[in-house]
Amino acid sequence: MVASPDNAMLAGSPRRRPADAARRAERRSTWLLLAPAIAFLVVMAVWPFAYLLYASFTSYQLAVPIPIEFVGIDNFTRLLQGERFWSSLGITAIFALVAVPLQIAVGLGLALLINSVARAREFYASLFLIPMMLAPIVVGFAWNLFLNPIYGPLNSALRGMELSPPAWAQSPDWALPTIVLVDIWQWTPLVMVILLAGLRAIPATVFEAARVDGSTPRQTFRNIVLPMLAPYIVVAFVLRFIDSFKVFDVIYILTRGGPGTSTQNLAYYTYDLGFNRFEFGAAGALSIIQLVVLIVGTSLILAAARRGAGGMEGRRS
Amino acid sequence: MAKVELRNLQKRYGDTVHAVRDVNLEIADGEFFGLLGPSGSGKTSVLRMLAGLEAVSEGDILFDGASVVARSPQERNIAMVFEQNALYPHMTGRQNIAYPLKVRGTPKDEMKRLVDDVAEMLNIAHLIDRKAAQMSGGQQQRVAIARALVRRPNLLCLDEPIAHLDTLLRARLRGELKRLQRALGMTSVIVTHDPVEAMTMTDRLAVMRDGRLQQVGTPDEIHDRPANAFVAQFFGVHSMNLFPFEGLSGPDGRVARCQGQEALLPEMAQRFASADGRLLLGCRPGALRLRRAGEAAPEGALRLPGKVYVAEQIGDEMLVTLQVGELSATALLPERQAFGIDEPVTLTVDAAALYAFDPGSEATLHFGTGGEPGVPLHAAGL
Repeated sequence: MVASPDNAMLAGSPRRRPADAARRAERRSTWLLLAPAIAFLVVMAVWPFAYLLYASFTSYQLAVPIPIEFVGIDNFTRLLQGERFWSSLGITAIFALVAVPLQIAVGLGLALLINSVARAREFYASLFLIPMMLAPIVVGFAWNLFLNPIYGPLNSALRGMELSPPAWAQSPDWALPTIVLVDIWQWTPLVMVILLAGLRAIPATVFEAARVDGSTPRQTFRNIVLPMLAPYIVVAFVLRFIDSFKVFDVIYILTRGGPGTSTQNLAYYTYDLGFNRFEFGAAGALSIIQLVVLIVGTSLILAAARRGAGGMEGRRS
Repeated sequence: MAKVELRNLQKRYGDTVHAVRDVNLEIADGEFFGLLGPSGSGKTSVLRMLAGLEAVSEGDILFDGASVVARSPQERNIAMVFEQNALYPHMTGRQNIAYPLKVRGTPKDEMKRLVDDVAEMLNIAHLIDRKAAQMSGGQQQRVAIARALVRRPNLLCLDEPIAHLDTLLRARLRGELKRLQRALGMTSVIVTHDPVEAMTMTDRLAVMRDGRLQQVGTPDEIHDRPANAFVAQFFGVHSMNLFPFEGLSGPDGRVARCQGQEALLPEMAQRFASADGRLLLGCRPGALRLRRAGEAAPEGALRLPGKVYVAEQIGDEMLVTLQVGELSATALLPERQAFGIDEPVTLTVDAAALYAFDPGSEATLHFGTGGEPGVPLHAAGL
C-alpha cells in the first residue's frame, strides 16, 4: 500500500487527533524510503552471513551426495579438538602479535625519518609506498623469484660470499619468518603513512616550544610526540590487527601453508577445508570462530588504548 | 635578566630572500622592547634569531657582552610565548607550565610551588587542571605566558602573543603583560604589527620595513617625530594622511596639483619642495578639517578639494573617509556632522599641523604638531 501523508490524514477517523495520524504517516513513509537500502543490506550482507551461520551447524559437504543434516555444534567441537586448529591459530597470532607490532615500530621509525627530511619529503614517502600499492599476487611472485633457493638472486649473492643460505620459503625453519617478513615489508608503508599524517598534525610551534623549554630530543619524543601520536598508533594497530587475520595470498604463493602446516594460518586452513576438502560445514564453523576471535581481540585492544590514555593522564597530574 | 645587543644582524632564506638587513640594536637590562612592522618586515625573523630558533646568517647577538649565536635556545635561557598553538594539547595547564621545570629535573614539591605561584600571578589557578585543548584562546595564552615565566629566563620573547584574541581580551592582557614585565623586571622583546600594542606596552621600540630598521626610540618620540613617511603612516592609532603634490606654481609657488586636483598650499610648504616642484605633506586624521561648499576656509591653511567616500559616527566623533582623486584620506572630527556620500568638500589642514617629507627619500623634513585624537573605542578595546 502506498500512503502519502495527505491521504493518511484524511483516512484518519475523526476521533484520532490529526497530529497522531501525521506522525504515523511519517513513520510509514520513513520505512518506505528506507526499504531499498534495507533490502540491499539483507541480500548482500545478512543473507550470506545467515547462510554461513546455518552451514556451520550442518554436515554440508560440497562434493559428497549425502543429505545435509543439522549436526549442532559438532563442527565446532571437532575443530577445537583438532591440532591443526590450534597450530593455525598460533600462526595467525604470530601475524597479529609479532608482525603487526613490528610494522608499527618500523613504520614509526620511517615516519619520523621522512618527517625530518627537509626536501622532497613526498618523493621519499611515495617511494616507501610502492610495496603497499602492489597487488598481493605480484608481491608473492616477486618474493618467490627473489628468494628462490636455486636461481634466486639473494641466494646466489649469499653463495657468492661463501655462505650456505637456507631455502627460505621452502625451509621448515625459515618459511614462517620469511612470510612474516614479507608481510612487514608490504604493510609497514600503510602504518608509516598513518603516522606521518599524525606527525604532520602536530603544529611546528609545539616542537619549537619544546626546544625553548629545554626539552631534549629524547624527552620531546617521549613526553610530546608519542602521546600526541597515540590515537594514530591505535588506528594503525587496529587496522593492521584486523588485516593480519586475512593474510592469504602471500602464503598461497610462497608456501601453500607448508612445509607441512608450518605456515598455515586460520585463513589458509579455512580455504583448505572449504575448497580442497569441500567441508563447507566445518569451514563455516571455522569462519565463525575467526570472527569471534577478531571481535574479542579488537575490543581488548581498544579497551587497552582507552585505559592507556586515562593512565597517562593519571600518572602526570 | 640580560642586556641584549644585536650587531649587523642579517638573515637570508636561500638566495632570494633577504629578510633582515643589517640590524643594530641595544636592549637594556629589564627593558620592554618592541619590534613593530607590517608582515614581511623581518621583525619575527629578528625575534627568532634572538631566541635561537633560527640561525643567524651574518652578524652577532650578545647577551651581557657574550656572543650567543652558537648557543641553543636552552643554553641562552630564553623563554618564548608564541602566537598560538604552542601548548602541549594532551597535557593539562599545570603539566604545560611545569614542563620546562620537569625536563630540568626540578624536585616535585618545588615544581608545584613554582607553578602555583605563577598561576596565582596570572589568575589561572582555577583552570590549570584542565587540558590545554579544552581551554579558550585567552586561557591558553595565559598558560603559555605562565610557562614562559615559571623559570626566570634571561630574555622573554613574545611573538604576537595576543594578536589572535578578541579585542576586549587583548586590551586586558596588554595591561597584565605590562604589569608583569614591570614587576619581574625581565628583559622582554615583543613582536607586533599593532601600533597600539607597541605604543602602550613597550619602553622603546624599533619600527621595521623590508628587513631594515626605520626608527628606534620611545613610543612618544616615534609618534611625535617619525623619521620618515612610512613610520608616520604606520605608527599611530590611525594612519597619517599623506598628500603628494607636483607642479608647484602660481604666485610665490602656492598652487600645486594633488591627484590632478588643484590645491592651495600654506606659506611654509614651498620650502620643502624638491627642485622638480614635488612636495610630500602629511597630517594626522585629527588635524584634517572639512569645509562644505560655500563655507570659508581659514587663511594660510592647506586647501585641497575632495569628496566624501563614507562618514561613520563613532560615539561623539566622526570618522570620515575621503577621496582626493584616487587617493584616500581620513578625517577624525570632534563633533557629529552629517555628510552625504560623494558630497564634495574642501579638506583643510592648519599649517602648524603639517608634516613635510622629502618627496624622493621620504625622510621627514618638518614635524607638525597635534592631530592625534584620544584612543578610539575600537583600539582601546572598550
